[in-house]
Amino acid sequence: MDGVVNAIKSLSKDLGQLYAQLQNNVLSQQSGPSLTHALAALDPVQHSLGYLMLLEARGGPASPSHPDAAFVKLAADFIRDCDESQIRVAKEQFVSMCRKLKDHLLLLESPRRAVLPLRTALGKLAESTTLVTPLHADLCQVCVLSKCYSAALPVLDLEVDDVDPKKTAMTAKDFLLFGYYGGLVYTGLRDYSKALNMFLYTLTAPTMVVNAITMAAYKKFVLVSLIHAGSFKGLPKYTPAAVTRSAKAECLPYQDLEKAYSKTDEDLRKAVNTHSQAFQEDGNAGLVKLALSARTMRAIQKLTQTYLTLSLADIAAQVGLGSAAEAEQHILQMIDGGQVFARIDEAAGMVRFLEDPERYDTANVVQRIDAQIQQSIAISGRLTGINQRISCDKVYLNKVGGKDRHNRMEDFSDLGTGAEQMAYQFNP
Amino acid sequence: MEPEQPEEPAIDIEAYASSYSGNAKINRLIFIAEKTSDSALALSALRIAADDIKRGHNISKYNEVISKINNRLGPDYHYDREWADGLEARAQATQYKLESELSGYKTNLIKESIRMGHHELADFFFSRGDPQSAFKSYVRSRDYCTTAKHVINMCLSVIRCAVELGNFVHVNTYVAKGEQSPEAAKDPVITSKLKAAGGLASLDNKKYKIAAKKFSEVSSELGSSFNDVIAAQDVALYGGLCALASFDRPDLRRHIVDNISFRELLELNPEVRELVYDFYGSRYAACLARLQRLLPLLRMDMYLSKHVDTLYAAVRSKALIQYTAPFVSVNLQTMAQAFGTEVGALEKELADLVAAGQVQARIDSHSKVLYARLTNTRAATFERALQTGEDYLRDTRALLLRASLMQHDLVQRAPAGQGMRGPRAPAVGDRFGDRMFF
Repeated sequence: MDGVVNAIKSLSKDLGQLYAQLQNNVLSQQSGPSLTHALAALDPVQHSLGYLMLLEARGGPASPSHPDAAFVKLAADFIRDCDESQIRVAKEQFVSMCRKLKDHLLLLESPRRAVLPLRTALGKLAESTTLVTPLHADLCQVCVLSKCYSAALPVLDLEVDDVDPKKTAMTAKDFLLFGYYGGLVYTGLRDYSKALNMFLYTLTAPTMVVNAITMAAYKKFVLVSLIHAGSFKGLPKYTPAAVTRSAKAECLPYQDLEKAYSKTDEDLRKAVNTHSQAFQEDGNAGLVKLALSARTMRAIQKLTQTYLTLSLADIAAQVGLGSAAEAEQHILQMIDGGQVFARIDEAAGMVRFLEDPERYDTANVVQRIDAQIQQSIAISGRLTGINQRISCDKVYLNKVGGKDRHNRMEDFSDLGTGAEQMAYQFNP
Repeated sequence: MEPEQPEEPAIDIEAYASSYSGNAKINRLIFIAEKTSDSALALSALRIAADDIKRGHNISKYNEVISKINNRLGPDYHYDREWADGLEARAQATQYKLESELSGYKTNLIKESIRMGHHELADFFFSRGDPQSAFKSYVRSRDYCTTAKHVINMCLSVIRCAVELGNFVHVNTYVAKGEQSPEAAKDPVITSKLKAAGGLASLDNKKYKIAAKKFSEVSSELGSSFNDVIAAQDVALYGGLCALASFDRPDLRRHIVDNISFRELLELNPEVRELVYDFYGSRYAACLARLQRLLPLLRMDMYLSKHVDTLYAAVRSKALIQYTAPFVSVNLQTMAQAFGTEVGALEKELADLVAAGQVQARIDSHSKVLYARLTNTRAATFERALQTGEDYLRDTRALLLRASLMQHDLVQRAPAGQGMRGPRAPAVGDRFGDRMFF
């Protein structure tokens, strides 16, 4: 063991060789105490790579049976202090070490403590913020488990559009989990449109076989669609065929619910009752309940299109609520959430619906539009770059010959022009 | 308000029947009898029908009418076996004669005679109340038509049969065929016949606007020449009602009110004329009351009865929409008076129209006022632009991400040694056991 420590110390300048040497060494067979001893002899900043390798081994097997508080402490400190250029040499081990940290903390039943280390680790692992890393999924998972959804936002709100296993040790499963847990984070924050987008990542990820994650994401996707839009429009046509097929075969309760949702209250209640067992087992009972109340909300919103004023009793009758008081409660909540613009006249029992006060005449709006244009131009630039790269790609050129190539290139350039057109339309 | 509709619609059945001839008359009378089932009206309708049939050779209708009368009209209207048997025997003979003549013509290959033969045979079938065979024979005569006049004749005969059969697809085909012929354009009566038949077909197809347009193109010269299919006053009735239900004001003026020829048709049916003018003059209460009064009569009309409810609803909502269109705000009380209804019912009706997007307004249910809604196109444009931008960004990012997944081959595959649908990714289970509750 001392030899290993010495090698780490002497080779700290030549990371490639050190990494190769350490990989050959079967560290995981070393006993816990000796590893701890070796770790104590090393400096986590100067010898980050070696420290990481030892620490990873110290974390024990992939799914630990009892929590190890000492490891948690060491790992958290290491993540905080380590040198990012060194740990990127051993990405697999770094990811694995972070997961072990997470697993131990889950066993300790304090996922909250994993949030900060994972967020830091994620930042150190990825060179660019547009990359999806394996740790994205883990961060979202601990955020969901500890219910601090907003803790994942600094990472999730950075738009990602690239995966590169060479840079991040990403796997297909990591990506599916990223979409699933990311969707759960946004669902927890009631940001449903972003949640749907995340679930779609999982659902439309290219796949040969259907994964349990994808099916779970499908179920959530259906429910969140109902909450957000009041209907489920089906999966986009670029969804892998295997996913579409199994979704049909394996998620019957959800399809029943979705069909009943656009029918009468009676049908809906029947569908919910028949499948309540399945919803319960999938852990989706809460979302089903939310979908039901979203329906009431949507009915009230529809009334605002028709009426300027309406008595609470009439609202209750038209929407199918028990009493005027119940209707009042709903409307209060909706005013609070900005879903409806209204004033309640308590004395007369009347609700006065107002128009959306947004006039689109503030500097804020200009900023939003400007930001969108900038983003569109940037993304369009990337598309052009990709387009050029593909059209110069030898394999691609060999594959598509003659006329066919011409057509395809036109297709690609179509994608690129959207943003420019938009920018053109927006510019005064 | 008008008094409630009488149980027995006030209809002069003799006068009604006299405006039709041939099978149309009998069919309409039978239809009325079916609609009114047991009343005195049904019996008098059946009596007229029976009298009429006795003068012709329509044995199948005779059987139908007599069985409907069911001995309720005394001995004069019992089944007359002697007459029926005689008729049957004569008919057999005639049919035999016509058929042998036709086969004779066919062997001689004289085109005109073959056409005549088919035509006569068809006429014979038609008068006997067998429109199906008549239809076939008329269609067969088509190949032997040599002049435009023959073609028109054939078309009109086929149309007559098809209308009676209720096969309006054929009506449309042969109306189109007839209209292509140059002969049709020259003779206003023929044009009118074709238009009227086309209108009937569109009406049956629930294409009320097209029906209204076709009926409105019927010239008053039609007179009683098409009575074996449709009477001129029916054209006015169908056309007027469909127009009210489907035309907007400019169309109504152009095609109905300012259309001299159609106005003459309207003169034949004063009720409908008043109805149209009331509607056009925005006297909605009078118009709706008149509609209500017409209702029992329309229910007994064999072509219109199916569509009466739809048309009435359409006329009513059209009236409501037109009433509200010019105002910024409308007092529901006044409006209810103008339509002769209750405020509550009116509010419900308007709410439905607003929800369907047919009236751009919002209801102040507290003070019972309807306010026109001015859509803020500027805000809507902003909203749409921002939405489009967001959609574009989101879709493109997702696209890039998927492309990237493909590029780096991050594709979920079946683990080695397992089938395509084996226990899915066993490693997933343990990391995936957590349950999320919201």
